[in-house]
Amino acid sequence: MRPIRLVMQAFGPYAGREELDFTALPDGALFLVHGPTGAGKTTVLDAICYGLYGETSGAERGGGDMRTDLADPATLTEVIFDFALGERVHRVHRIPEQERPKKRGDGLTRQAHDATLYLLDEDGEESDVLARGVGPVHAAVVERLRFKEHQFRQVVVLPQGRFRSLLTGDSKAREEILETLFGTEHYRRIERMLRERASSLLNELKALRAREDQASGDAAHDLGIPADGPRDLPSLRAAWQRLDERGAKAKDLKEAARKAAERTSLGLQAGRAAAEKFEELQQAELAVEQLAAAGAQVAAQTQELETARRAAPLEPLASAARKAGLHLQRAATQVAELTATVHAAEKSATQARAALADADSEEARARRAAVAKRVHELDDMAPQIATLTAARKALAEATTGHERRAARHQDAQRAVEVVRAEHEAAQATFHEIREQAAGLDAARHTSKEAALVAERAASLARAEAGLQDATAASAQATDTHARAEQHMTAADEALRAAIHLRDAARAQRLAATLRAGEPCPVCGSTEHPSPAAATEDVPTDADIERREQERTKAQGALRAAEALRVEMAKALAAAQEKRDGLSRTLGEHAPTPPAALAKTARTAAERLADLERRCATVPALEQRLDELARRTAEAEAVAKQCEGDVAAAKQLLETSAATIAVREEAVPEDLRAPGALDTALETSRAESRQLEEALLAARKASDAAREAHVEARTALTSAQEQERKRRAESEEAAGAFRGACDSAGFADAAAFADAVRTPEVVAQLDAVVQTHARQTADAEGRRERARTAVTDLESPDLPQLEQANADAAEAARKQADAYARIDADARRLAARLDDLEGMAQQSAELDGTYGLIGGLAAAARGDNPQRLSFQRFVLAALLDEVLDVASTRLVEMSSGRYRLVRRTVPADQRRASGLELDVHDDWSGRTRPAATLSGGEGFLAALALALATADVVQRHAGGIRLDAVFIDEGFGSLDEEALDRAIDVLMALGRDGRLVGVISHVSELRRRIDCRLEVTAGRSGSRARFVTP
Amino acid sequence: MRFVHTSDWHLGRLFHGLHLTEDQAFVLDQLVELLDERQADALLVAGDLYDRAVPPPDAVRLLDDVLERITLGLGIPVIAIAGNHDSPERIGFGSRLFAGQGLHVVGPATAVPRTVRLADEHGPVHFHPLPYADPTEVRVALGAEDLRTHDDALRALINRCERDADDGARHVVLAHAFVAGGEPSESERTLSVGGAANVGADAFADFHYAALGHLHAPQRAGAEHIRYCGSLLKYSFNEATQRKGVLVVDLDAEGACHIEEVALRPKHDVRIIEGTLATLLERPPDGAAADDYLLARLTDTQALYDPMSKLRAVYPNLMQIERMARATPAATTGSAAGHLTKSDHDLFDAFFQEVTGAPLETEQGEALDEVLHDLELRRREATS
Repeated sequence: MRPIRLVMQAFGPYAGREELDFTALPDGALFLVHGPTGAGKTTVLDAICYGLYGETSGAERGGGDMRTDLADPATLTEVIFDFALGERVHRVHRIPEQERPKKRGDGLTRQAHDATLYLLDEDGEESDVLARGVGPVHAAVVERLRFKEHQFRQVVVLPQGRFRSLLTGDSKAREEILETLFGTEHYRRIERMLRERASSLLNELKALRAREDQASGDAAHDLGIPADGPRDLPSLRAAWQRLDERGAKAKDLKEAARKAAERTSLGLQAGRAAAEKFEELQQAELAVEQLAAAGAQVAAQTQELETARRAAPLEPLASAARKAGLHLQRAATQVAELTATVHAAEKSATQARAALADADSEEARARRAAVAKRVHELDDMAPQIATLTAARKALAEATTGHERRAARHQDAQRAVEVVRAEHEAAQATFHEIREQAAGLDAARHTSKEAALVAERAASLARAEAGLQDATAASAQATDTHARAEQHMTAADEALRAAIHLRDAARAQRLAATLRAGEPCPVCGSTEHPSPAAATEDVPTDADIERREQERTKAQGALRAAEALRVEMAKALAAAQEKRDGLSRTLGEHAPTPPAALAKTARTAAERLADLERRCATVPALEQRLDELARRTAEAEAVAKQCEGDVAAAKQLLETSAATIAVREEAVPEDLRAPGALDTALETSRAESRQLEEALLAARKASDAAREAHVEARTALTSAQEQERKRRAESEEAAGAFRGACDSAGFADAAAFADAVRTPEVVAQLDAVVQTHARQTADAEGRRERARTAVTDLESPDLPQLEQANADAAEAARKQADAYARIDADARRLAARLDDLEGMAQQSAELDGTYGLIGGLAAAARGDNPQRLSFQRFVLAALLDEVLDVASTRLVEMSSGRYRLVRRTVPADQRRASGLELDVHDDWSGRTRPAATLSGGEGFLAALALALATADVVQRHAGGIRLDAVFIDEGFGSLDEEALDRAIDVLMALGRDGRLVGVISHVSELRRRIDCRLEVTAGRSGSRARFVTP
Repeated sequence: MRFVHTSDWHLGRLFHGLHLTEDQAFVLDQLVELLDERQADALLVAGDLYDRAVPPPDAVRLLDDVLERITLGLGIPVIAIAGNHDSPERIGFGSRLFAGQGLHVVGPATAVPRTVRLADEHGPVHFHPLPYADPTEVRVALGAEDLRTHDDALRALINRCERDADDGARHVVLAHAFVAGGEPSESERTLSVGGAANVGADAFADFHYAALGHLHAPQRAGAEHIRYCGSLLKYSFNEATQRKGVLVVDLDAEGACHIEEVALRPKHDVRIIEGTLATLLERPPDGAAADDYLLARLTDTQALYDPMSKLRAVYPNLMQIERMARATPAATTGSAAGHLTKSDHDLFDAFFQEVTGAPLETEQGEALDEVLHDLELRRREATS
């Protein structure tokens, strides 16, 4: 697998789109991924792992965490990795789960984890889609690379600090890693299968034995063998035999009992038949008696039947008589009613006639005429009233007009006043300003002066301050000078003293050489009365020199101080002069504080400015004045016009009033009011109408009453006629009925009524009589037959017969039961015993199989002296191969000192082993556990081991060539020599044609490895680019 | 003119974990004395003054001391260039300041290479110190885009040297490179991963003398006047047979060279001793001081117990042990490659034999086969 191109977009710390072209690196290059901590070096490996498998190289950062916070929300996080397997180039494109902006509308939507695997053609274009979707892509990648993610991480991408786990882990951990790498789960499955099989066999065996025990126990119990009796198969069979014999005997007994029961049964049946016949005879006799008792009643009913038959034909006559009577009654009632009606009609006719007479009297007629006349008069008045109304309207209009005009006149006058006032005000302002302008120049002058004064005052204040400073400095300089003088004096004295001492010493030295009698070198005398005595310390030349130097220094200092003092004095004088000069110029303003003066100056300046502003407004004001004058004239003209209008309106008003007065005189007073005419007219008309109508109504009523009366009388007459007819009919019908009754034999109508029966009742009675006769005949016949049947028989004793039969049946049943039980038992037990035999056979077989498999499983599991399980056995051999290769490299890297070996003797008999790693130190000739290597040595060993593992996996994985390997960190723990050696190893890898990528921040590596992938971190994300020579 | 040509001091280097600064000081003392004795007119140091970009303080102190003694003490000008181990910027610190005192150090490569002009009684002698620079740095310095290899880079720099055919000067060039045909030792660093770092010797043909550095074995490189003087000390056991020292070169009026090799005696020699453990323990081989830096080649064939501490008792500065022939421990499990090609049954048989000491019996074999068959069925079902 050889990387061709890696594209990372918004992935990890890379906010933008980084494209890394691995083909830019020379073949077999060792390249360094370099950059500061956190810049994104490991992310490059993460991207490769993630792109292929959807997991990152340390399996610590999930895909969803890989999106950078610094990326633009519109930028999609994605990884595209082009890689070559042999000749064919593949591309995997993976997008992790993330939020991205919706394509339509606002807001974010969740982008799910997606991946696609393509095949590329020679131009680098996607030619085929090999797999789509996370699951299929994973499967396709694993299939092509022959590695799953754990293997990839162990073998191709060696992540930070992780590949040491192969070196330092325990057997179990190493077993897991190697198992994944070499795919030896198959052997573990064999182990497990054997173990499962053995344990399942054991369980089966146990279960089988338990069942056997149970079954034989049950069988023994059933056979009646006591709990402690023999349970083995032969004894059980013997017991069964005995049981069988008992069964045969029981069968015979059963047969005998059955036959006895049959006989008794037959006897019982005969007895029952006889008893039935006797019973029958008794019943027949009873029936006959009953019928005889009912005979009397039946006779009475027969009689009734006969009378009813006689009364039937008389019915129609009776009903006719009744009907006629009713008709008569009705006619009489009607006559009475009609009589009453006639009386009432008479009365009302009389009344109506009277009313009519009233309505048509003379009075009424006169009234009617008067009303008609009034109406006429009112009509004639109408036109005059109309003109009056018109005149009134004109007046109203004139009034409104007048009022309106008066209002307008008032407005105009007010306007005039306003304008005039404005004009006056403007004029006043204008005059004011003109006056003020006069004083402009004066104000200017004042302001300038004040400013100047203020400035001078300020400089005076500054000069004062300067003067104070100068005074202080001068005093200080004087001080210094005085001190220097003192110092000088002291030094001078010291020097003199020293010189004196020296001179004195000289004298002492000379004195020391004096001998009595020898001449003194100074004066030549041979006597020396008082030679100079040695005194204290004689100052050396050096001392003198020193003192001289000091004195010189002091002198120098004094001179300097003097100079300074003079300077300061001069400065002081200058400052004073300056101050005085300024004070003079200021004159009387001197005492005033500068702040107040400044304020005055400011005020004057403000005032000046104000004045100037105002003068500027003069031309505008003039213009305004002109305008206002114009407006005033206009307003006055308008006012005058309005006045004229008002006068005209007033005149019109007066004219209208006069017209009205004239018109009113032509109209009667009660009608002058507007609308009075109309009202009067209406009232009169209404009255007239009313009177007419009343008259008509009275006439109609009278006519109607008369007619009603006539009608009533006619009706009464006919009703009376009808009554007479009905009476005749009634009497006839009654006579007919009476005659018929007599001929039929009924004494009177009452007797007839008694005898009448409906046809249904008659039929009923008939039926009853007939039935009774028939029944009586039947009953007698039955009695005869029954008597015949019992002629030869005797009455049986049923209870006794029944008892005997029951006893016999019972006995038979008991015997049958006993036999059945014994038979069933025997059969069941036979089956059980067969079962038992089968089980015993099975048990023996299982035992054998378990022995075999159990042994194999135990051995495979590691239950053997070497504590080596089957899988680990295979792995151990593989591990040996790996260690072989690793040691070759490690020997080189450690200058012949270390090699890796596998421990073959188990350290601890209780724990699983077989894959422990030791390191053999040639310098001491001893072997010690691999975990005891130091950090740097351990790194080299782990590196050798990892590379060896990669080689061996490749060998076994069927020739997938690993053309690239990446190593993440670990170099920081090496010293320079070890680092050099490690680099040599890596370069050697490169010479095989492999691409070796190293991630490290160690700066020494940066100098040594000239192909680099520089990762730079910035505030807005990281960038990565290849740097090649 | 007489100058001394030296190079590859590698001050601050570790030798199997041991700092060599004392040994280097010892040898450099001899160099200073030599310069004085032979009254040299100049010292040429052709690169790799330090072993690392950031050298340890002791090394810096040593270099400071040596240079001061030579330039200020003896008044002899020193011309030095940065090598591939040095950091050019750090080495070149203060070079303009030092030039006035006669210390000419060229660190980073510049567009116009520096020329150091000295003179003798016959006329001017111009020295052209060209520091080591990889092609990228040269590209940047010269502003030229088409320099790919070290060869291109060096030739470009040589072209920029100020030389007129008729200026009457003799020209000496200093360079730090791997000239094609040269013999490397174990202790040089590879200049380029991918190895296209070689430079053709003809590039130096026009100079009167080419003082080269980088290869640690003193040798000629294509011509008599193109020379490697070799490293100051033996820096790997591979160099145990080399003679370490400096070259004293006399350049006459016509520019012909007379070259003398002068050996420098180290405090501790670097040697390889060979023999069985017993013989070596008895007495040290001839001519060897017991405290030399040694590599012991043991010829014993059997396993040895703690050879390192035993030998160190006699040779306190023993750096490394090599075993010539050793018996490989018996492989108890046989070839693994063989394992994975066997069938499951055979493999289990091998395993069984290994752990119980006896092969599978027929019945056991049958039982095993049954289990394997079941497993196979189950696997087929799972994958179908």
